[in-house]
Parts: sequence; structure tokens; C-alpha cells
Amino acid sequence: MKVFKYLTGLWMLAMAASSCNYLDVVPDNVATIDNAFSDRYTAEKYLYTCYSYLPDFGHAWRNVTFLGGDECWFPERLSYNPGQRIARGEQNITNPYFDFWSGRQNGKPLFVGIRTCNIFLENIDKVRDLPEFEKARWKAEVNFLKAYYHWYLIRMYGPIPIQDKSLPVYATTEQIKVNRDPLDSCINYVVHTIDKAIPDLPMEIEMESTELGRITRPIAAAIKARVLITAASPLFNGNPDYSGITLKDGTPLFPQEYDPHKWELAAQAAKEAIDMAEQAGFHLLKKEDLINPKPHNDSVMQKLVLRSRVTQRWNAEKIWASTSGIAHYVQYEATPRFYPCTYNPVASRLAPTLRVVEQYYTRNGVPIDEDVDYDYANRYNLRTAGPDDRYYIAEGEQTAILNFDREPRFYADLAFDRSVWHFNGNEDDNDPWVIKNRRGEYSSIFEVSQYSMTGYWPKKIVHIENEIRNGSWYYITDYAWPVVRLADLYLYYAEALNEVNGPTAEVYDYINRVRERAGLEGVLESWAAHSRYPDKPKSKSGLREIIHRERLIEMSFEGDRFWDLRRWKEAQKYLNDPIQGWDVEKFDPLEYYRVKPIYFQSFTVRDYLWPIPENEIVLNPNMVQNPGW
Amino acid sequence: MKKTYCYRGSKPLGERFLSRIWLLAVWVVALLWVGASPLYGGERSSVKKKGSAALQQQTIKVTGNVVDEKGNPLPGVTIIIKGTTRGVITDIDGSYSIERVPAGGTLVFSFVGMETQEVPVNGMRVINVQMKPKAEELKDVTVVAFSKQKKESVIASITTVKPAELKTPSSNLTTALAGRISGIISYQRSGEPGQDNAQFFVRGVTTFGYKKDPLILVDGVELSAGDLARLQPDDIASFSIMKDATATALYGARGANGVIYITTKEGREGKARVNVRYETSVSQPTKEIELADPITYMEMHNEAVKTRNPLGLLPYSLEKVEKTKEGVDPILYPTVDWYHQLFKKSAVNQRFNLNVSGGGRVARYYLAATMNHDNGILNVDKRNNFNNNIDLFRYNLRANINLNLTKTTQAKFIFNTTFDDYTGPIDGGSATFRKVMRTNPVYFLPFYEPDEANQYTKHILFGNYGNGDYYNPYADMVKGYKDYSMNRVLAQFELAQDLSFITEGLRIRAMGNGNRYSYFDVTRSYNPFYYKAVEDTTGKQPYVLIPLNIEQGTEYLDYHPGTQNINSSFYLETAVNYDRTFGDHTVSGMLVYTMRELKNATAENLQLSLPHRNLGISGRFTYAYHDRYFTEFNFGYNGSERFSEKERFGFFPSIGLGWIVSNEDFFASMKKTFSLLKIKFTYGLVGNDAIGSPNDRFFYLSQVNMNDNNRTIPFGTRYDYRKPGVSITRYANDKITWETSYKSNLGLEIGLWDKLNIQADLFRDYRTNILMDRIQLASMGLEARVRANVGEALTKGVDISADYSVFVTKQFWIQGRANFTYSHGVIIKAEEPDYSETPWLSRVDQPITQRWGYIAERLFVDQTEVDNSPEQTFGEYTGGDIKYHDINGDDRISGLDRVPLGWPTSPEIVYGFGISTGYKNFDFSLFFQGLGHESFWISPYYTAPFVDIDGTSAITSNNQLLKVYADSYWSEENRDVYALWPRLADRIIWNNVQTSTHFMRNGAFLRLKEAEIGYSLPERIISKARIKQVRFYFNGTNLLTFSKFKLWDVEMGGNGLAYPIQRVLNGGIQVSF
Repeated sequence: MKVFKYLTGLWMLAMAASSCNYLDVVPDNVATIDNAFSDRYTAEKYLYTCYSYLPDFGHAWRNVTFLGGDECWFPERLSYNPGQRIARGEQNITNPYFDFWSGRQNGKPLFVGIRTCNIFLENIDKVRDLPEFEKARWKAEVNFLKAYYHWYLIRMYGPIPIQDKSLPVYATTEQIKVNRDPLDSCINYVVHTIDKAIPDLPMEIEMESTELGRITRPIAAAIKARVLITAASPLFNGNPDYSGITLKDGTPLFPQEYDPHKWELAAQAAKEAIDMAEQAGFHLLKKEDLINPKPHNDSVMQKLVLRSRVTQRWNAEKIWASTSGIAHYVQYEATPRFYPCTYNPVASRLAPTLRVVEQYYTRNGVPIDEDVDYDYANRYNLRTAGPDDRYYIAEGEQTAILNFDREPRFYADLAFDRSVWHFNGNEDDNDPWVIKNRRGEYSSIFEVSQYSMTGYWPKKIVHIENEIRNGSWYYITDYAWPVVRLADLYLYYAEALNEVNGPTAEVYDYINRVRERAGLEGVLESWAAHSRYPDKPKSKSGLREIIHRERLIEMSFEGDRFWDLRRWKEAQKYLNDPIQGWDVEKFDPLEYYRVKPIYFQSFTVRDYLWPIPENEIVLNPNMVQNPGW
Repeated sequence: MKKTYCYRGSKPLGERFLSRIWLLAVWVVALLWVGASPLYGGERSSVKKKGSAALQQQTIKVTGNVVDEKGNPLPGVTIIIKGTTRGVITDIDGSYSIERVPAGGTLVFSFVGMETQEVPVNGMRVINVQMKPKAEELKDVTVVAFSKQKKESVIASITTVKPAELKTPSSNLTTALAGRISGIISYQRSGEPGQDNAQFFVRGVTTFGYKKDPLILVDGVELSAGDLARLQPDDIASFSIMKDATATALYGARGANGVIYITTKEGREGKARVNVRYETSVSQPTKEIELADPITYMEMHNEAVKTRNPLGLLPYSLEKVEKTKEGVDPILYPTVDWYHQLFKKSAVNQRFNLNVSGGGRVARYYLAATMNHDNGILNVDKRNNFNNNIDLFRYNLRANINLNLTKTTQAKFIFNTTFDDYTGPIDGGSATFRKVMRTNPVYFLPFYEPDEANQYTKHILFGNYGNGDYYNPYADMVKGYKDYSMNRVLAQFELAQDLSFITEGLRIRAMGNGNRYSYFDVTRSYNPFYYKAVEDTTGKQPYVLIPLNIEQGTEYLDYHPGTQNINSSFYLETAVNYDRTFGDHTVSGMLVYTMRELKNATAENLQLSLPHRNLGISGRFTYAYHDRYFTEFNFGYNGSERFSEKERFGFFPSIGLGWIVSNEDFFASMKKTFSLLKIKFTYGLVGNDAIGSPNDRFFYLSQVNMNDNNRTIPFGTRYDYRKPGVSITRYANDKITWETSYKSNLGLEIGLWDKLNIQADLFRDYRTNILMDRIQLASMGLEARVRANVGEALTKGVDISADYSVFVTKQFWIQGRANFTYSHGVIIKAEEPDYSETPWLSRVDQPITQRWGYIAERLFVDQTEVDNSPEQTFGEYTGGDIKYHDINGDDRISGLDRVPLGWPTSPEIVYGFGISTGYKNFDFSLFFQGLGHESFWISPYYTAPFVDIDGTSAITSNNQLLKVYADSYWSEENRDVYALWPRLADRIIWNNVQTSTHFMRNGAFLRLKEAEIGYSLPERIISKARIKQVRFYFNGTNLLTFSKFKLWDVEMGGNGLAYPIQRVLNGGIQVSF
């Protein structure tokens, strides 16, 4: 046996000697995470990676705000549209829609985004050839993104576990059982992190062709204002519905008491953001900002300005035009068919609900049910358009009274049966496209899944230069999505200031800036002259209602309504009424212009916040589920 | 410390040099061993020639008869006087006569296929000889890892199957395994030529890692399941399954899932023997899926919309439904049977196999050529000048050459190459089938005859709808074709040296094998022109065609390069064997050194491009006493490049004990009944380094994609400035190591009356260190799964095989055989959260391939019942949707209410039994095969009628309506709460597509797998033509199936909407001469 031993030993020895190279097949310099921070070039890639978790703002399917609320509706057959699943009350804990917590069902994995930011911040100092000023700017950008990802989660889920430092990859089972942090800590953390970022961010982008879209100081300030105004709003500020929600050890997760001081902070932040934006040259878009070769009459010009406030690329009022989720596909959904075609170049499905349509003011700048001159009771009856209407409604054609005598934003933002559509190939004031949507007409149902269910389209988000070639193709001019516009900040400021001080000249001033650009008179004047309730703007609550409505109109289809209704705790008021539209399956105008309920929505207290995925609760016993889920 | 010659992966020349050094070293060591052994030194001089000088001088004439084992005269036997070249051949009666034979000499009788016999003359003038077939030799020897052992001394659990049993009328060997070999769990899910490999596992699924199937070795070289599928049963000499630790431990880190070991035939001394086999077969689906008729389809589709939303827009106007029903205008109101539009009833396939073997003293050869021609069941459009049906040619050439270089040195050369040439539909058969199942039957015709405007149009006027974005499976099928070409070339050289001159029983051998695999495919297709037929308002012609994609359609073929796959591997094996008997003591020893390298030319990333390597040394030491007691020790010491340096090598020992009770003296009285009784036990460790996924090359390194285009964002005025981002697909973990299996096996071999043989094994496989995902919270923000070797699983089971053969009369024989495999594997340890509140969620103690889901009570009666039942959290639901059972009683149906459902998805029982019988020149056989303890689910997602499951893709589709659903569904008029299909919908109702008992079915079945009848021409007719055998036969596979499940072939399981499993009727002729 000795021989065997000796021999085996010899074999193994020999093998061990050879194996050192035979099995070591990996050459040096295999890419590891350290390589990402070896020089400026690769570090920049990592910076892009940090940015890549920004939600796809301008994407109708990947941004819940388009279809998850009551603003627009989609043909039912598209059951895989997660936004519509939420709108139809099908949100659930087993496989939540728009799950940004774990990155499923059209959500992005934001916690991965946060870890990515943390890795960047931990390693960026290792880069050998990165100039200090640039390093500071990059760090500030990533700090902002980290704060933004936290914020995005907070807005959806309420309190979340703050991930200022990420857990080690091989953390123990005990270490990973994290707790949610109380809402106030979350908000403070986000605000603090943005504050930390602001000084090192650039005021504006200098190298536009390569850097437009990156975070600037006005963006950070604006988001900070949005965070603080959300924290001050009823949903998060002493909401009694959340009074009993605590951690396992009894720590309350939501602030228990209403704190008016939060409105002061919000107002202050909004004002700072406005100042910073104006200092950086932002102003409300006006006629002079347009490069327009052809002269147009005032009505058409006004519609042009209003449409451009969202769609014009990098315009004067888009404080944060985000390049994450460029508005391309959404335009394909938002455009009606302009002429008979055998091939459908557009999807034409994004349909504003009648509720949103009715919300726009009359041409007198007041709500349709308050305007003393407006035939509110007969608004669903028919009327024939005369020559005065011709820049809005095709002359001699019949449509509902509801579509007549509305404010300019109504005609700039919406398309409907018999409405005219300027631009997009028909530049002549007197020869616009005419939308014809009754059954069998060219704008109407193309297929069971390709039509507007309500008979309206959100013209607002369709770029005026898109071209429908006579044939089968739709050439889209895309644009970076306006996450924050200056008008947005004006209305934030007005809202917060009204909460702090009640109606003041400053509050009116900031609302009126927005109204004036929309071709309307000031709040006080309009209400005094045309409303059944002329004193409404003079009370704090009346003015609050006016500011909210102004906001819903001005910011329609831009993704604000979805969050604002929640923030104001008003979603229950709106989202329990039926979704309505015209009876678009009919040809006879008398039948077509009958209001048809499309869906009966239901919204309960639990729907204000997203459910935390059930699996996350199962895996982590410390994770407290949101109320009602 | 790196030595200067220690190359790190980039210089193959150096490595090859090293491996040669190695080879040399092995030989030198072997020589040293022998030289250094004083123990055996004395034996060398013991060989002496015997015989008396007187006898050698005398010469005589010898005559005699030679007969075969059955006593029939054997013509053509060569008889040579040993030591000379003089000899004669027996005549037709088997008699011979040979002059001048030295009275003390020896006659050598040899005949192809028979054992060569040496008969000392010893002065005898008449010598009659009975020849014994050589096959006997194979019977008594079992192929074990790296060598062969005498059958009775084998204590490892190894099943050997006669290659003849694997002959089925199929070009795919893997489909023949189920039920034929004990210890194999096997099932087939698709019948598409080229894609019809059966799944197979040795002793069931014993792990939940990615590699669950066995290691496949052909002539000692690792090949893939695809290569196994292409192997010709005619070329196989032995087919064995190695199951326990003793059988597989030598394969170290790669043998844990069992080993399939195949050796190919070698030539035998004698005249060239030619074997020709030709078969033609007709194949057709075992079962066609029945669809509802188009009118029902329309009516139910309308109902599906209305029942969910009374205000919904109807897909078909009443006018369309009426006109279609009347059938007055089949062009404007079409009804299309897409299935029969695309598929033929049956396909014809051919197989041809030719092999020649023979040889002389120095060289023996086995040459084989095979050609298989498989066709699909797709229709071809005559207007195209290309064939879009599946047309698969497979060629296989083999040359196995054995050379006796010297008396003690043998060389073997194997050359084998396989070519596949395929032409077929671009999508493949299964994808085409799936498209048929997603195409609306009433929207448009597959193609239209030209209208006036298209009189001179050259292209086919395909039908479509909407924007031309609907599936037209006919257009997709005929618009082009795909070619693929696969080739594997394998060359193997083996050298064996008998070192008996040093000490008896010592051999050393070395084997090298290189093989190259290459695959590419190309597609050529045009873009179909789509048209919509509408009424001609002028009334001049019956219809007008409106072009839908005049800009995209093309009349010319376009070319699209497809995938390419090239890899090459090299394998080296050297071994020293020692085998000797000393009186009652038999000892043997073996040491093997192996190295293997596989390189991939078409890797996706750097880590995948690095060579795959294994290195190992293995040994076997056996000792037997008196042919009664056997012991065996095996080990494998293996390295795999996948693990960090400290985890790189593993040691896998095993021991075995055997006792042949029937050889004991006290047993002698029972020997008549119990011809054999053997008890054996083995225990040992085997590893599995194929863990994680094939993409996990190096666990100890992180995998970072430095150019991930999904992790980026554009910037700049025109959003066109972007840089790829960085993503992590694996975090480094240097603690990850292989999975280890602790295998024990208790076996029993019983022979009764020399007619019935039973082999039974009880086995236990305890798997530890199974790599699995750790608990990972989404809130940690990890990009990749974090894993550890934490899982444990235990598989227990039994496999039994029995065969019985008897000659009732000389001309009537019966053989029966049966086998049974049961394997029940459960998870013992898995990383999972604390399930003490919901113990039914725990995977522990549940089968490895168990599925979890909800218990469906029935369908809801109405909305009132919904309102009064626990909330179900999967989206919209109402009356007629599935009602689930609230397990945990929290008044809500959520993930916490999932319980283990039914049997595992991989069957636990596979069995087969058959009988063969022959009378005179006829032979007949039947073979049944079945499986049990398997559940599968009808996919409520893929079968959901009317739904467009292609989701957000550019294609619009409408699922077909299965007839069984049309016959049994919940409707407002007929509120059948036990209906098969819930309330109709025109979209996915997520509540109804959850995994639940509602769509669960039992996968058990028994089928007449094969029946065969054969007739051999009588010898008196054919012997004149010098032909040895002519046999005609007719057989069929998958002839009958017994199962409760009727929707599609039950063996396809949940994969029912794929290319169906085929029933094959086959006729063949086999000629040997």
C-alpha cells in the first residue's frame, strides 16, 4: 500500500503544479466595478448610469400619471396597460402595478438607482483625472438624483427606509430587516440632500449640445419646492387617516398633527425656486419666443403659444425638461386621424375624459357652472358653428354647446369632433385640418383598440411640427418632457402663500401671470364680472379652490393632476364618479352627443398610497404595510 | 507565486506543450511504479511453453465439423494452423479437412462475430468445434467509468441496455429512453423535427441548480444532449446509465447527476460484414387540438366584450355575423381553418443506415454512414420557388479503427462527424403552430385571388386586417425560409499498452479527443404584401383589395444573417490499469488523469469567452475474494475553473461492498432456482460544478457590463448624446463551491431459473451546497441576485428492472422485460423567510419541482357572492371568475394563500414494459411506456380566447377558441360554476390566470409506445445469394395513449400549444451480408 500512497502523492503533486495555470483561465484586468472609476471617461458612464433610473416621464405607458387617474382613458381591451389597471381599481399587493419599489410592472427599480448613486459617491474620489470643479458638480448631480429617487418613492409609498448608505451586498439576514423611516425624517432627508447639492450645481447648462437635460440649480430648487409643498399638503400633513400607522415598536410613521409651518417652508422654497429660475432666464413662454415664418391671426397665434409651452423643445419656461422618456410615443397616442386612410398612422387612443373637458374655463375665465353667461344646463345640446368660431370649430358644423365659448387653453389643449386643428401640415389659418369623429368618419374608430373612447384628444402634447404624410407614416418631432415648468412654480407659490396668509395681492399676482398668458383676465376681475360667486377669490378657501382649478387646467396632461389630487386628499372626491365621454359609436350627431358613462371608478382611502409588494413584507417582518393594503 | 512559464489563459501553445509533458510524465510514472514494485517482480519468469517435442515433429490430417451455438453447421469458418499461414475454410455443411497438421500443434478457428477458438491437436484426427458468438463477451462485461469490469464483480449501480432496444423509428435517440432503462426519468414535450429532444434525468431531478441532467459520455468524451440525440442505435455497442456514487465518483465534480455512457461498435476479425437498413415512415400528430368553429368564435367574442362591459364596442357587427353564418360571401366574410391551411395531415421521413465491419489480425474496422431525412407537416405555397416546410437532412459518418501495433500495443482511432442541413420555416415549427393559435379565423383570408387592379401583380396578395399588423401565419410561413447547417467533427486517438511483460495484468493507455462544433443559420424572406378585401361600391367586381403596407412589402427576398455558434473542445485522458487474480484473490487498481477544455468562439462577453476547463485525477481499487466478496474504493479529485482558488479542487471518494450469495457453498442446493443472488451496497460523494447558470463563469469575480446600453440616458439639444452605462450582473463571491451529492445505493440482483433476471436498487441522494438565491429585499437595491451554497435536497427512490426469456420450442421464443423507476426528491433546506405563520409556503419537505398556487373552489355565481367573499388581489373579477380558497383566513386571497399543488412538474414515476416473441421467421413485439406522479397546467394565459397576448409588441393577435372552452364556459345564461372556462373576456383577467387547481391536470399516462412486426426471409432462400439476413419489419410509435386528458397529447404537459408529438408508422428493411 505504501506504493499506492507514494504514487498518489506523486500524481497529486504533479497535478497541483500544473493546475496553477491550467485552471486559472481568467486573465488579469477583467472588468470589475473598480474599473468604472479608473478615469474620467468611465466615471462619466457611471454618472449616466445614475441618471438612467429617472422615470420615463414622457411615456404614456411607463408614467402612471397618463392613464392611472381620471384624466385620460384607454380602450379596455389593452389589459396589459398597468396605468389603466390602477385607474380601474385593480392595484394589488401580490404584483403591484408601477412597482417602483422592486422595479416591476412598468416601475423602475429605484432602490437600485439609489444604490448606484451611493456607489458613485463612495468611489468618485478615486478617479485620478477628474478636475475638482467637475467632481463637485457630478457629486451634486448624483446627490440630487439620490434625493429625487427617495422622493419619488416617498410620494408613492409614504415613509420608506432611507438608504443614505447602502447595505453591504453580503449583509446578514438580520441586517437586511430594515425599518421604514418616519415621513418627516424622509422629507427632511430629501430636502437636506437637495440643499447639499444645490451650491455645486450649475445655474444653466453651458455645453448645450451634449449636456442639456442634466440637473441644474433651478431644477433642484424646483423639486425641493415640490417636495415641501407635498409635505405641507393634507395627505401628509397631519392626515387623521394615518394616525395609527406605526412601526412594530410603536413609533408613528406619519406626522400626527397638522403643522401650518410646513406651508411657510413650502412657500419659501417655491419663492426661492422662482427667483432662481428667473435669475437663470426662465420666463413664461410668449409669442416672441416662437420662431414662426408665417403670420397668423391672434386666435391661431395664441393656440400656437399655448401648445408650444409644453411641446417646444427646451423652451423658456421648462425648468426641468427631462430627457428620460422623451415624448415620442405619447404623441402617437394623442393624435387623431386627420383624413381618410386605409393604414392607421396613429394610435389615437389617449382620450381626455369629459370631466377634464368640463373643467376648463369659459372664455370669461371662470368655471362653466359659475359663468352667468354660459348656458350650462344645455351644454350637451347641439349648436352650429358660425364664422366667429372658425378658428376653433369648423364653420357650419354641429357640435355640443360644451365645446363653444371656452377659454383659449381649451382649444389649444383639446381636439374633438368638428374642431379645427392648425399646423401639423396645414399652416394656413383658414385651411386647418377638421376632426371628424362620428362613426365611420376618418377620425373615428379604426379598430376595436384604436380610437378615442371619449371623443377628445390631448392636442396640448402634440408637437406642432409633427407631420402626417399622406400615406402611412407619422413623423414625430419629439421633445423632452416638462417635469417642472415656471407656471407650475407660480401656482405652487400662490397655493402655499394662500395657505400661509390667505388672499393677498401677491397670491393674485402669481395666478394672474398664468391666466394672462392664457388670454384670461385676472382672478378678481373675472369672478367679479362673470361668476355667480363674485366673492369667491376673496376668501382663503374660495381662493384655494380657484388655485387648485387653475392648476388642474394649466398643468393638464403633464402628469400633475394624478399627484395633486392625492396630495390635496381630493382623489376620493373625483375618482368615485363615472368616467364619461360622448357616444362615439354613433353617427347621428343627436346620438353622438349623448353623454355615455365609460367606467365607474372607485377610489378608497388605501389608494392614496401604493401597496408595498407583499413579498417584501414576507421577507422582512419589520416592513409595515401601508394602511388598507 | 507565478512561474515564468505559467501562462494565464492567453497562450494555448504553451499549454499544449504542458499537456504533452504531462502525457509523458504519466507514462514515466507508470513505468516507475512497475519497476519499483518488488512484489510483482518475481512473476516475470513464470511463463513457460509447454508441450512435448515428440508430438511436434509428427504431422497428421485432421477433419471435423464446425457448428454454431444452436448446433447448425457453420460454413466459412477459417481454420489456421497456429504459427503458420496455412489454413482452410469450412464448406457449406460446416465440415473441413486439413492436411499435414503437426500432431502437437494448435488449430485456430475463427469466424466473424464468433469467439476465436484455439484447439490443441494433441494427436486427435477428428476435431469438432462449436463456435460461440462473440456478443457473449459483451454480455459478461460491464462498462464502468474509464474501463470495463466483469459483470459479476460490478457493485456499482449501472444499468445497461441492449442497443437494439433503442431502435425506434425516430431520428432522435433521446425519445427512446423513457421506460426502457430503469433509473431514467424522461419525457418529451415537443414533436418538431430538430427540436424534439426528450428531457431526461438519472434518478429524477435531484437538485434545483441549473444542471439537472446527466453527464453524457460517448467513447469517454463528454458530448451534449443534442449529440446524443443524433447517435445511431446501429452504431452503439453498449449503452449504460451510471447511477450511484461508485459508478460516478470518478467523474468527480461532474458526475452528481448521473452519467450516460455509450461506447460505439468496433470491427471484429473476419470478412467484411455489411448491414443495410432502410426505413420510410409516416408521421402525424398524435392528437390535433380541436378549435371551435368560426361562427361560434364570433358569437362568443362578442359575448366576451358584452359580458364584461355592456357598453363595450363589439368586434363584429351583427351584419358580419349573419353574413358569415349564411356563408354567401366567403371572401368578404371569410372563415378560415388556419390549422389545416398551414399543416398537412402527415409527413414522410426516411432513414438509411449502412455499416461495414470486419478486419484481420492487425486491423479491424467499423464504418458506418447514416442519412436521415425528416420532413415537417407544413404546407408549401406552389407560387414560391422555395420550400418553406421543415426539411432536415442529417448525415452521420463514423469510422472506428482498431490496430494491433504490436502484440501488446493497441491503437484505436475514432472519427465521427455529423452534419445537419435544415431548411424550414423562419419561425420554426413550434412558433408557426403558436401563431396559428393566435390568429383570428374571421378577419381575413390567408391570401386573395387578384382583383381587377391586381391582375398583373406578381406577388401573393396576402390577407390582413387593421394596419396589416395582425398575424397572418400563412404569410409568415411562406414568406421565406431559414437554412441552418450544423456540423460536429470528432477525432479520437487511443493508445493502449499491455505491460504484462513487466507484470501481468498491467496496462496503460492514453486517449486524446478533439472536437469541433459549428452552427450557423441564415434567413431569406420577402416582406409580404397585405391586402384587405372590401366591398366594391361600384358593384363591378365581387370585391376590391386595399393595400395595407404597400411601402413595406417587397417582392424580392432579403437576407438576414442569424446566429452562429462555434466551439471546440479538447480532452485528454491517461490511465494505468492493473488487474490480476492470485488464487482466490482478485485485485485491480486504476488511476486516471483527465483534462478537458472547451472554447467558445461566439461568446457574449469576455468571461464567457474564456475557456472552460476541468482537471482531475481519479482512481479505482477493487478487491474480490473467491468470486463472492467484493470491495471497491473509488475517488475523484477534481478541479473546476469556475471557483476561487481555495475552493477549486474537491475530493470525492466512494466505497462499495458486494456479496454474491449464490456463489457460497451453502447456497449450492438452491442454485437451480436462484441462479444468481447478489447484494451490493455503495456509498460516496459526487460533485456538480455546473451550478448557478451557464452564464456564471467565475463566481469569485463580479460580472460588470461596462457598456450597458439599457443603463443610459440621452442628453443634449437633440437628445443624441449618450454614453453606455455600467451594470452589474453578478457580485463576486469567493466562497461559492460545488454542489455535493452523498449517494448511497443498496442493490439486489436475482436470477431465477436462468430465465428471469431482476435488478433492484434502493437509492438515496443527499444533495448539499446547492447554490440558491439568498433572501434579498428589493429595498436593498441590489442589481443581481446574491447567492450562496445553502440549499439541501434529498432524493430517495427505487429502480427495478426485470427481464425474462424462454424458448418454448426451438422455433418459438418469448422475451419479456419491464422496468420501473420511482424517484421522490424533496428540498431539505432552502433559504427562506420565517414561514412559521404560513407553513404551507415553505419549500422545505416539498418536491424539488413542486409548484405553488391557489386552490380554486369553483367559479363565482355572481357579483353578490364576490362582495361577500374574501377579496382576491389579482385585479378585476366578478361573477363567473375563479373563486379561490382563503387558506390563512385573513379574508383576502393573496400570495400568502398559495399552497403546494398536485404532483411535481417532473414525473416521479416512469415505467415501461414490453414483450417480444418470435415464431419461425416472424417476430413481434409490443412496448408500453408510462409515467406518473406528474402535474401540469393548461396555460390559461396562452389559451385565453380572443385575447391579444402579444401585448405591447407591434403585432396584434387574437387567441383561438379551443373547442373544449366553447363547450364549457360560464355565461350569464348558463351560470355553470364548475365550467372549464370562466366568464369570457376579450382581455386577460389576471384573477383567472393565476396558477391554481382550476387548470391543473394529472400528467400520468400509459401509452403503447411501440409495436413491431418483422419477418425474416428463410435462410434457404437467401443463403444462395450469400446474404445472411433479410428482415422486413413494420412498426409504429405512440400508437395508443391512455390518459384522462384529451385536449392534446398529455406528454406535452403545459406546452400543448406547440408542435405536436408525432405518431410514426414505419416500414423498414434490413439486410446483412
